[in-house]
Amino acid sequence: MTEGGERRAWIVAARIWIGIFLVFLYLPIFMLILFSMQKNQFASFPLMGFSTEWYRKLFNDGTLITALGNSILVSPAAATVATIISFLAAYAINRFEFRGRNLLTGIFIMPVLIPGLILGVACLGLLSRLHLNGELYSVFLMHVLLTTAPALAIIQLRLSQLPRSHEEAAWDLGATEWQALRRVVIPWALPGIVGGWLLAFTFSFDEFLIAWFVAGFDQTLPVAIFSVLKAVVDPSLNAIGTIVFLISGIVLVGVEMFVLPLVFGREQGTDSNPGV
Amino acid sequence: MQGGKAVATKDLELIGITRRFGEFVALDGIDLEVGQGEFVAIMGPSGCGKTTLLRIMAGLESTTSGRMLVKGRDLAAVPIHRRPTRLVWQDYALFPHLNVFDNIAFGPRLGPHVPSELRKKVLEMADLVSLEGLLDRRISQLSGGQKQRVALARAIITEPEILLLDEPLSALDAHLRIRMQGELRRLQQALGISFIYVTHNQNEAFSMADRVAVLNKGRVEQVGTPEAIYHHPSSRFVAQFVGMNNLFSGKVATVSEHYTEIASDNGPIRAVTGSKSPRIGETVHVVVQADKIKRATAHTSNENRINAILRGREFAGSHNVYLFDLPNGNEIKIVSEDEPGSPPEKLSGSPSDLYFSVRDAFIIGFQ
Amino acid sequence: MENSAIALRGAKVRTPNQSWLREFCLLPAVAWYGVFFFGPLCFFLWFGFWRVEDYSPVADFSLTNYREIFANMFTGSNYGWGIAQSLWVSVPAALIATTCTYLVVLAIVYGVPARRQRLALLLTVAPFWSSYLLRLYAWQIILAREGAINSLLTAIGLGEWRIALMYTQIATRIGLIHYVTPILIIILYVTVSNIDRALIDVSRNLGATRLQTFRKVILPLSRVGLITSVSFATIICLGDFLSGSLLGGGGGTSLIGRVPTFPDMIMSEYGSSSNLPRTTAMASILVVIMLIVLAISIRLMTPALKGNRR
Repeated sequence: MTEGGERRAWIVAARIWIGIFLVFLYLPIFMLILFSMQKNQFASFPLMGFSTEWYRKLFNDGTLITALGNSILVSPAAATVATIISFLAAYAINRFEFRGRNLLTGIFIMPVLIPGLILGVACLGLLSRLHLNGELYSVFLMHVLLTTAPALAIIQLRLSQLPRSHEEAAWDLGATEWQALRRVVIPWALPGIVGGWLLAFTFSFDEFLIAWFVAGFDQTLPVAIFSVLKAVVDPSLNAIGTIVFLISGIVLVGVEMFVLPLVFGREQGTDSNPGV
Repeated sequence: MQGGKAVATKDLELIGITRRFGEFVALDGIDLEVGQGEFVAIMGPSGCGKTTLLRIMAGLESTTSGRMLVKGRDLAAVPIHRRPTRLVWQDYALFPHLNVFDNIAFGPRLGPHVPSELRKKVLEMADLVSLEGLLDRRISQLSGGQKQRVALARAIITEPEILLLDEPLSALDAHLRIRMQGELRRLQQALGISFIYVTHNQNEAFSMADRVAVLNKGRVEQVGTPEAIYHHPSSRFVAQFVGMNNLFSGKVATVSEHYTEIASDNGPIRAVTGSKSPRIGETVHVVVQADKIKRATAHTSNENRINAILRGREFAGSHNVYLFDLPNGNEIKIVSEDEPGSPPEKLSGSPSDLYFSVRDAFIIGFQ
Repeated sequence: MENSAIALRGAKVRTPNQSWLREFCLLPAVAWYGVFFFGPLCFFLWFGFWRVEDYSPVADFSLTNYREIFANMFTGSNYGWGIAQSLWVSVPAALIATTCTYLVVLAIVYGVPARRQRLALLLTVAPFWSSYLLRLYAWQIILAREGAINSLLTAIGLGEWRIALMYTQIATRIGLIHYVTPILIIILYVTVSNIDRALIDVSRNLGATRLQTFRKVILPLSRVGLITSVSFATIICLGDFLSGSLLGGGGGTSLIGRVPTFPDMIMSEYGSSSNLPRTTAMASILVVIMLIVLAISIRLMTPALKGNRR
């Protein structure tokens, strides 16, 4: 085989593999959306035709919608508080030089590395002692903690790209620390702040274990879905799933706009010769 | 003579500025005075402390000890945003989320201002630094030279008493650098305020500054006019850092009214006796500029003669630099303007006689 | 200048590194972490040593819970088999996920033109944003006995090829792999895209074939990323309860037998008994197992890091 031919063969193989992988990744999501709009009581072939029956059932039934409401309440609130906390912390870590700075950064990242099961049990243990468990705001409190870490990582990434001289220049031109923060640092950090919020929202919106342990009767959506799942086969799950995927899709568009440019640079490299 | 009058004639006085970072002494008792409307360059190799000094003047770093006065006023307790100094950064530090107009207007907008007057002032500034027509541009759309002008306008519009510049031309190409040198000098004269200009580039320092301060390892080695620094370096470090100088070391043998004779490893060398004369037996250095040493010219009694072995030639455009080995193993350089197209030296390794006038040899390094 | 009268003390100027803003900015985060992170964690470690009297926990420092757990390792509640099942599920899942993801990342970095790479990455990372629970549910409807795959096979007349994966640990692993791959994509992409292209060109130029270049250049330079990826995936899988519960059906079959995973045991322990201290003690044991995995991966990584040092 010629050199060029061999190279082409490798590239074709590589792309086929990416294709197989994408089918694996998206098959479940596709199936769920498909069966949410079919008459089938069970998710099995052949298809019986288009129907919005399960969506109607979902909205009439109420439990899942209530839980969705709880999640829509808790997740943005937790993400907002977490974003404020993590912006302040990231600013301090980025601007000041002090002992234990790296240690502090490490500690701030820890909650995402600790499995939800452990954190959930731990929180329940403490909160139940303090009689703070079993309400929606206990989920909020814990989710602020859990989502501070990812938000901090993104905001810190953005702030670390701000040349030190920009803030110094603002001071030098007569800006107080507060003015410099508002007129130079925050405008610069804005994509990071939005990206951090979106990531925090995602973590909170999808979080199951901690919410399961501390939520009590004010279930968030994942907890409610789990309860339904364990009990019966109910195609309205397909419907709520489709709605949730839709929300995630909107968040993802935001992530594409704000987070990925931070991670991968604004432009892709110019060298575009594929193949080893 | 102690009164306010003497103080008012100085734009800036640094008295014993010292800065330590743990064990490391970045600045060791810097004394410097800048007269009214003076252009002073601070020059030194990287790591000599020149940028730290500039940041101390701007208020970005604290001092370990020492005082700083601007027009007689002690700045010790003045925080950065209230200082009468402005810094122009090496990377310009322009705000990327603002356009040119908003960058220039940044300082005035921080306090009370009338928008229509501010607009007029910004336009004047843009005019002064030739930025007309670019005010709506984004920072990313500007060339290096244009960014430089925006940085200057942004600092000047706040009417500072002293402008501090941190290697502001180092990011520009050679051609633009030379043009900007002239513009900076004109700007400084038009504004009538003092510029303090930090650089490692001696061409920049010599072509713009009224006076040059040479820094080494956190100390001021020499302060003087460019001519004085170039022709009469006062220390071994300055002699080696500035220009292309050759150094000979030895002990003082005899001192007369016109010349001093030094016994060096390469034979006796005579140098002019300055206003201060060294003691006999003291170890000193003799500086001779590379273009003052001649090969095989007329030998008068007023010339020093040394033996050397030619090692090679470097072609440097308008002139040649010849490298010679001295008997004691040191190397010296001489610069000569050979006629163009002269054949490359075939006699590499051959012994030569080199001559230089007593009048071109200066003694440095004595107490 | 006659300045001898003035003491040349250090100017007490407040530089930008000294500001009340530092404390102000760090305070919310430190306070929140103190109360809702270190508080629970310290309490968590201690709570495992409490004892239960009349169905309510009493503060103590007793080893009763741990003694009970270790007594039930391979008899009664079979905690030991649960741990074994967890490892048997998690480690292969992590290895398979890392291998597949690594190949995808290699395919993206070396097989996709630069301007399309970002799209490819976005597509492979995107499922991370979809609900994990719903993805597991979707796998349920796909893998179920009368689910999407089997009904499709029957419908097209291939009934004898029907699969029986549901409620086995293989299904558990499918769910886990689906969960961790988008995260691994990021770790491995950062690793592979940081490999200097020039090294590959040099290797090819020196006459190495593609496979030799891969074995001698790309693979050694990916080592740290691969180890990170496997250990990270293993720890996530060890701590996961949902896939084992929903796809593995609790005690799904595997080579080890019909035993639930350890997290599943912890959750049912929590649900069935009111002995919260003992649940906590079990979770503490899970933490220790995860720390061991972490220690092993750091141990494996150290020579690789040393090798990279210039």
